[in-house]
Amino acid sequence: MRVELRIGTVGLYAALSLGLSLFAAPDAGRAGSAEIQLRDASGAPVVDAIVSLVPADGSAPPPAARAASAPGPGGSMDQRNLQFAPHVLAVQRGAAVDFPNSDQIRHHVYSFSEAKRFELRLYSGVPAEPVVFDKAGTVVLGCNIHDDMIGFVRVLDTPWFSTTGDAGKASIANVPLGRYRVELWHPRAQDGAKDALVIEIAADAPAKLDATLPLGAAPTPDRPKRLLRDRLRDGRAP
Amino acid sequence: MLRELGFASFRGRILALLIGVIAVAQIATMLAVLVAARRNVNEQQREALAVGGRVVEELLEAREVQLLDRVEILSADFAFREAVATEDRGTIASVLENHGERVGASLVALVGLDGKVVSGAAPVVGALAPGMPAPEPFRSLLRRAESDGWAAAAALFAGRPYQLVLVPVEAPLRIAWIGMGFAIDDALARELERLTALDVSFWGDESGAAPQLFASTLGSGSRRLLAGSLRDHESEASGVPYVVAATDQLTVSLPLGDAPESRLHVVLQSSLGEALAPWRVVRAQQLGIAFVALALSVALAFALSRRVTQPVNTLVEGARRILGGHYDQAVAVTSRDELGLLARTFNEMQHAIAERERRIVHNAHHDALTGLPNRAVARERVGTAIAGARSARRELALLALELAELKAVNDSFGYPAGDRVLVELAARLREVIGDAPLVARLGSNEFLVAIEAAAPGAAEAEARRVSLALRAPFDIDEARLELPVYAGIALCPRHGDDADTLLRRSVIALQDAKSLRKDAVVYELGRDERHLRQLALVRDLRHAIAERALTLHFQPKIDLLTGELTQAEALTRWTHPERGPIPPDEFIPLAERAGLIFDLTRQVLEGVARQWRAWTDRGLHLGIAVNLSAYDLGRPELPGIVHGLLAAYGMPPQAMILELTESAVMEDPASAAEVLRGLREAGLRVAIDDFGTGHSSLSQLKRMPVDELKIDKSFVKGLKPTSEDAAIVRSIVDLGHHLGLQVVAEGVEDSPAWDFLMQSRCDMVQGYYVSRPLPADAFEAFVRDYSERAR
Repeated sequence: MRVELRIGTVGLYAALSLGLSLFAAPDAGRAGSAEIQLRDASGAPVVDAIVSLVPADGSAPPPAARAASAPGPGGSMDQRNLQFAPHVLAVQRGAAVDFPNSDQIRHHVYSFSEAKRFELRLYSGVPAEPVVFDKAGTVVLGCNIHDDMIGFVRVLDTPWFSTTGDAGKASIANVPLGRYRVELWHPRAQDGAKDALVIEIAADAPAKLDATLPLGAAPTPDRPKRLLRDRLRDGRAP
Repeated sequence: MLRELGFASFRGRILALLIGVIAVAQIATMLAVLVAARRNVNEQQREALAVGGRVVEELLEAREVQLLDRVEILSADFAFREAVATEDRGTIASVLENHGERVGASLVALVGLDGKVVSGAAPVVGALAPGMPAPEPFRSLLRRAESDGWAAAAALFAGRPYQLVLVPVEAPLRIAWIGMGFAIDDALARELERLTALDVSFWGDESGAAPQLFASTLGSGSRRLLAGSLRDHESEASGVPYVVAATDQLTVSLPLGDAPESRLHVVLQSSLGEALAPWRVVRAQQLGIAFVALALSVALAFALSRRVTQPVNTLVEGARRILGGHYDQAVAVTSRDELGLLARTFNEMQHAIAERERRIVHNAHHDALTGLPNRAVARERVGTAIAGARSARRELALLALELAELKAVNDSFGYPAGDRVLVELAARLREVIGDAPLVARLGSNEFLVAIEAAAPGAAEAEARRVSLALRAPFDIDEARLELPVYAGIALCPRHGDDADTLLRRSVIALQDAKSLRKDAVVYELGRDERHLRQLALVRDLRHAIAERALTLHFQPKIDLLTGELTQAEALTRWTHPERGPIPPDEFIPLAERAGLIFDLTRQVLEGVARQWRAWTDRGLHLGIAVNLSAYDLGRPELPGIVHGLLAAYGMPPQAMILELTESAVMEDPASAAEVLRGLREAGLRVAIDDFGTGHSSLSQLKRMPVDELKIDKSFVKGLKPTSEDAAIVRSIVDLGHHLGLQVVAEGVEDSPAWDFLMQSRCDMVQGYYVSRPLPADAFEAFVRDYSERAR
């Protein structure tokens, strides 16, 4: 998978910084930020993509700030209007995620993903305990009684990540200066994160990066209502 | 009766026509129905097959939906999804097996997103081994499912047919595919059969192998036949119906799946026999109806034709009766239709024919003018009258009546007058005779009457009275005519007792009455004999002349002056084989009346010429005299014959003398004179025979070209100088001489006659005194002897 690199002025800066960074490790005292703009192959902004930065030199990023016992910046995955909200949640390994059910009806949240196998059987409200994600990877969430409810929890090893919004932009702050590999992830990304992208965090200005992330096809909304579930949903007789 | 029914008969034809028409109609109807049935059934079958095809397709599709639903429900099962997500092969396998059984699947397979089999179970071990790429048809299903989200198809897997479904296992994203195969088996086929009423079979082939029959509702034998036909019809377009050989199954093959390298078809069959079954009932009914109709029509035809032909036959019989002359029986046909009219008209015709026949018979038997019975029935009536008289023991008189001078009346007053006379006579007859047994008109002026006499011996008197009564004059056209009616009477039983005899004898008597000019003459016994004799003689004379049985005798004529025998008169002699010699006085007149005289004369002339030749050759020189009759004179061939004979025998004309009686000559003096003149100019001599007895006048005699006069023997016989005849003879001699004729005296019998004749200077004599007529030889001898004596 190729990552197309658009070099602008920022890129020029990045290139200049590259030489400097060769001689220096990231400065723990000073932090910068990055702004990454993601587009897909057709140029449309990519929403719900997770951008994460991993030190380029391979050093391990610091683990999560909080312990697994308390809900914290791990975030929460809500269930609203028969959907997971957010659709994509990025957390650092070890984070504890709440699963509040804001819907009037109960949900049976589950995941068979290797990164985290768990079930929250038919509940409403907020479960007493959050779910701790202690393995890096992708956890696909589903609801046993609502086949269309799909959510993702991406468990990362780095604290420096952000999810693109509607504009397709992700901003990552408090990133120590230095050079980093940019990892992209999207549920429909056609390949896993690639390590072709590199960004240089500088102190003065946010590092900007435009990248293209090809996505696979979205499920077609008008696929033939062949299956029972489709017909049920439509209210037709089975 | 059978012959009556042949084609020649009207009846037969009616029958044949009716039966033919009905049969044709029936057969046509049946054929039409059969054809329609066949076509109908064919169409229905095709329709049934088409419908069946649609039903099967719908059913299979519905089953597909069902199977999809089942598998889908299975795939949504949480525990199942969990089992699949754990990737525990053993668990997966047992779950597949379990859930497969739950839903009744024969094949189960879990296929990963990479297209490889995760786990599977199939009847064929190892067909779905873990790790292997999903085999066809799953591979094709996968391709479809990846774009559609699901897939289903009917296909062959490992050589067996299944309905396959492939649905995703989503947990919640697609993590695998679950595929299941539901066998297409006999049970399914039977279910389809139940719904479509068609025989259902499934066949398919893989990779070009021979097509194979899988599930079917057919029996083994039919399966074999179908399998065979599938091989034969492989190339035929699917969906086109055909008939399996050696069966009556209309068959159509519809494709189910179109997986690469293999195909699966469903075959629907409809039995023509079964389809035709209801029609067979119709056909049987039709046959029955046709039969009955035919039988009815035959009976009807019989009755109808009978109604027509029976009267016709009756009429035929009637016609035959008429043919046979029976007019009394009417034809009994009483119907009021045309045939009845024909019969009535027929009867009228019969009546009319009878009437006409009666009239014709009557006319045939009765004279138109007088209404009296005519000659045709007269004889019969005579017989009846005789029988009646005999049975009543009475005498019967038969009168043959002739009205004389009728021709004169017709000539003078015209035929209508003559008719009136006849009618008057008939009326008189009827009046006079009353209810006599018979009054008939035999001919133009001839009548026949038969009367019975009341008393014996009175018949003749009765007859004469009748005859007298008829003598009254007739008043016609203001003229009073006295017309004699001659009657010839024959009496029964005196003169005979059969009709022919009496008739003949009455006619003979009538002829006598006419010649004697008597009113009525009663038949004399013997006259008939004479009459019959004459008839017989005529007959025999004809034969005699034809056979030249008559001979010539010669009587000498002596010249009184010289005493020489100078001539011979040739006289015909006829000796009847039975009756002996017949006198010429008898047979010559008969010959004349019978028209034989000319033939006779010719024979005589030739005989004479021949004889003269013979005598002359022997030195006997004589003239020969030949008697001719008036009839001979009238024949134009006469001169030719005479001259021919003279020439043939070298006889000089002067040697022949032709003798004719005075009366013969005087019958038609003018023409006689002409003929004779011609003959005389040729040189022949002519003599008048029997002179003095005819009615000649002297003026006629003067004009007649003759050479001789022969004094009739009645004057010469017993001639004495003192007899009255002497003066006559002397006068004749003088007369003859004065007319320049020679005079010959015939019938000299004695010497005084001879002497007197010599004294009277008669030229020649002839008679028994000299010689009676002699045959040629005897005559010749006589002549020689006479010559001797004279010397």
